[in-house]
Amino acid sequence: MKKEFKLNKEKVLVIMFCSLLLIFSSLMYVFAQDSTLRILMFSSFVPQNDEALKAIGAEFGQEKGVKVEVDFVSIKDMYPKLVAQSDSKSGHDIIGLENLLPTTYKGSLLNLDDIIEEIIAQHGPFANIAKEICYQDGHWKSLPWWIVPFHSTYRMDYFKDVGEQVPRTWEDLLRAGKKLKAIGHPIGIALSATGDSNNALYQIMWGFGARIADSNGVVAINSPETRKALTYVKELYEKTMTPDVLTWDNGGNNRYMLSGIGSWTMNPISIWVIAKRDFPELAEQLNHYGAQYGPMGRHGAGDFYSLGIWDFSPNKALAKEFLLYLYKEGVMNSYLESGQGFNLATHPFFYEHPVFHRNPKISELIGYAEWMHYTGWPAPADKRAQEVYLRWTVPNMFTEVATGILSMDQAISKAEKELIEIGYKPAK
Amino acid sequence: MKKEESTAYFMITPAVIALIFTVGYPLIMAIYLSMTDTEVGKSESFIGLYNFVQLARSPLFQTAFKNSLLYTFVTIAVKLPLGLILALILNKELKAKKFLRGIILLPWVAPITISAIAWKWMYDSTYSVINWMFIKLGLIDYGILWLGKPWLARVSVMIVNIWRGTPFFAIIILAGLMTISEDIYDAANVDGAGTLAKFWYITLPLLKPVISFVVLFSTVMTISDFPIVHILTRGGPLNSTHLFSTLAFQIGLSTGYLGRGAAISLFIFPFLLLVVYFQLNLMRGKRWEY
Repeated sequence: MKKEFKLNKEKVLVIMFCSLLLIFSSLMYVFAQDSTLRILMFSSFVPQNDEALKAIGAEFGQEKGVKVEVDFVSIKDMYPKLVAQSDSKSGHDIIGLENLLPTTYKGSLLNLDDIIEEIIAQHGPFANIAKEICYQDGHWKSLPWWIVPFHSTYRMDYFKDVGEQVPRTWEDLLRAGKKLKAIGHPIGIALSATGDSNNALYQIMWGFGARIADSNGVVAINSPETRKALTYVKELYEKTMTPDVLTWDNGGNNRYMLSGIGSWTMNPISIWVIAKRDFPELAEQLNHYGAQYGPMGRHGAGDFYSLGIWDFSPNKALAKEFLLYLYKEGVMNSYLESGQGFNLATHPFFYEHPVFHRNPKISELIGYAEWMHYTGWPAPADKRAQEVYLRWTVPNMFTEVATGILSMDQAISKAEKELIEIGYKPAK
Repeated sequence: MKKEESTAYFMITPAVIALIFTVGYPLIMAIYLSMTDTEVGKSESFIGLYNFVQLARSPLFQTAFKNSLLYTFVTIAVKLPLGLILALILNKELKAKKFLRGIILLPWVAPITISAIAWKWMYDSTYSVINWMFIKLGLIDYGILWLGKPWLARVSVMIVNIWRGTPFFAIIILAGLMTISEDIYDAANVDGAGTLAKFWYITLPLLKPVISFVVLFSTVMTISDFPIVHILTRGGPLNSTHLFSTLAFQIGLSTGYLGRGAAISLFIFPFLLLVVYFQLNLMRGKRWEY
């Protein structure tokens, strides 16, 4: 006999109970959120950074009698997470922002003029790059926090073998690189679709006076300076580099140096940090140097990190207090100490932290923020510069010329069209 | 409505609701987004088909379009015969048949992210096990830049897709082979048909519905492939491996141009609808009587 489905008293009560439980749990969750400060941050390469941030959060929470939750995600995962939170107007209170993300999300970020002014009153002004990135449309949109500079990492022993000192100029590098390749230890800069490639090639461009666009957003890539930079990189690739650079992701140069073959690359101190742990003898031979000088001066690049507060955060005042707390001298010092020299300050007051003086291999990097630019500089720090970074416009141009796939004119023309497509104004 | 019918509708209602929320709603939102200039942190306005027109003019999108069609066509053209051969072998009476049939599925069932990372290591310029093997065998003197040259990178990502997708073809075709009655082959033997003749006049025609199904399914999945390319090359070198999905991710989620990203994702939608239409017609076209 077929059983018919019938709602009876018991089933109705069960369904009502489950629904009430669901509603009640949701309300509890929402209520709980209001008394918790939630922070979303990138996982640092140095795990102690993350531990330090959690500890700072716990101390702040204890002082204020609130709960502080810190969540860490990889840099790759951060981008879609930020889109989701911005779109749904829900999520964390404080968010970590890499490079030009403050410009992307400026419409959803709280103005931080009051706390920045307080920090400036206490410690003095920030480095120029901090204002270039974090100050948007007349307001401070994020709190500058730290940078990870992109500098020379080189093998002292190999350079000694070829009778060369650490290269201080791009010409020094070319000369030394030819000799190093001849003894089986080529240098390497990524020429590929990767952030490392952007960070390295922009430095070379600026060193030769080249730029993608001017400060008014007019395309400026088609210039004699760009041709000089392209000529230099083509020669560097052909005569000094390993062809592996065409395949590198962000870890490619790390693996290359740690293999013992590589003699020079551009990278933060992460190669040295891993070498100290796994290959101490190799670590002994590694050293660092800040940005190289080109004909048009010394220019550096790297990754810039700041903290913003969503304008839909239910804990705006508390979030601002936390950001101010981060810039208390003891707190910032403890955070920089945890990085063991990996992250550098964006504020001159903290440049000379003892951690950078403890080891001469890091002390060369002190004050890197002073000669660092955001990728896209001197074009405005906006979404267009961010898009150029993410579309690998500059790495593609250099790769096409270095490998001979396109002529210099063709590669520049292609890059120029792409820049115009992205939104820069055509040159007259 | 009969009570039995109403019970049936009641039972499938949760699944339909779930589908509406997980498939229907995102699809409708994507169509709406693709017709707006939505960016993160900015209010949107309706712009009709402007995004699609701009995309059609964009050299980068044109490259991704060609790459996607090439990637789909070539990988399916290779997976189909490979899958068919594998299915024919697995249909024979072999020792450890069950074990072999299980193990052949491993590339398909392994999490795609882990597989892609493993392949990334195999293609790595410094530590590639493939290069090491070739050098030890004396076939090459220097490592091959699997992901460094545009055409080579295209082939490399296709190899990973083929490695991963062939088992799917094999298992589905095998299921089709197992439904073909032995009586037909016996009758063919009586008539003096050879192996090739049996394959061409019996096996292949009877497998056409199954092949149509698996090609259709694979076309949809391959053209929207994301993890393999994103992990191996991120669309490089020189945009030579960019597909719709990786470009949509780059423009939509990384840069924050949600409207444009949605338009990229949906660009292929009419094409896929046509593929589905023709394939379904093909499957329904003949009545397979024997």
